[in-house]
Amino acid sequence: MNTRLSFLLFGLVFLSNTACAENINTWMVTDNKINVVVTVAFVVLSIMAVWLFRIETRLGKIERQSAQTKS
Amino acid sequence: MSQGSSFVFFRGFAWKALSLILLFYTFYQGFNGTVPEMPILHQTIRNLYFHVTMWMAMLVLLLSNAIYGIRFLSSGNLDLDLKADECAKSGMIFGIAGLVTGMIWANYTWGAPWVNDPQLNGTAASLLIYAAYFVLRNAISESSKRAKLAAVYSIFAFVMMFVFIMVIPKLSDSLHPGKGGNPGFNKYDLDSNMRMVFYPAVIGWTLLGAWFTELRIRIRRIEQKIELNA
Repeated sequence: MNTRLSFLLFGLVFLSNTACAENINTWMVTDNKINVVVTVAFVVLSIMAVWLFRIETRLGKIERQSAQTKS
Repeated sequence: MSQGSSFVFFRGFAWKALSLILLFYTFYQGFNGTVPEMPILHQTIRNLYFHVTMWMAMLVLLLSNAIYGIRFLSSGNLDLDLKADECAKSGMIFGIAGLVTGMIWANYTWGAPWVNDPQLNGTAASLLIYAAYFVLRNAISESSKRAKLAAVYSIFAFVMMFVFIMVIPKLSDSLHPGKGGNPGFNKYDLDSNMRMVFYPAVIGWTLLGAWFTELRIRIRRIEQKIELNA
């Protein structure tokens, strides 16, 4: 779990930083590339969110099953 | 689902949803919001929303690691040691992310990804101290002894990290804003537009770190139960 989430986190970080580091003002003025960066960041963040909620749901299920078995 | 349990679910869910909302806001406003026009920094000042906020999240997680260590030492509850361990792991992830973001930023503004700056060197030393924390944990097989040593070490590690990245850079020459006599970002950011993104970003990244940690703790608890039953 950690590896995949960290990979996504680092992807986000790398994308945002490279975008910041390049002169994004020029991008915005000339060919609107910044919208592409924001869109990609949103997609990666959404994938991360779905992933986290999937783990959350599965864990909840296992925890409930474990509590039932105990009782 | 009863009213009480749905409240508990929402309470548990709300802060996680908040972290995502704040991060979406950070990415949108971070790239589209206005920033002050600064020489050398130019548009790279937007990296403040990613680099510094990662560090803030790391500091909160590593502080939690030290607090759980102290609480373990006073109670002897091994679950607190598990929490401390996972806080340190998440803190390391954010620490490395903060280091990478800083290196990319430095490459564009200072001309090299790594310069001889006390803050950078202090950061590297701090991450090595925390790497040693994990080595120490792995070297001891007996759980209660491992927990005690790790708890003591985590307090020492946090204090050392604070000295390395907060105190020493302020006392010597540093390229970082707010260090070595340089003006901090507060002086630059006169219109406060950046604060409207910076603070939500700090909260968003910190909550995401807490979410990572919480999931890892729950997984570890299940693994422990399976081991006990086997």
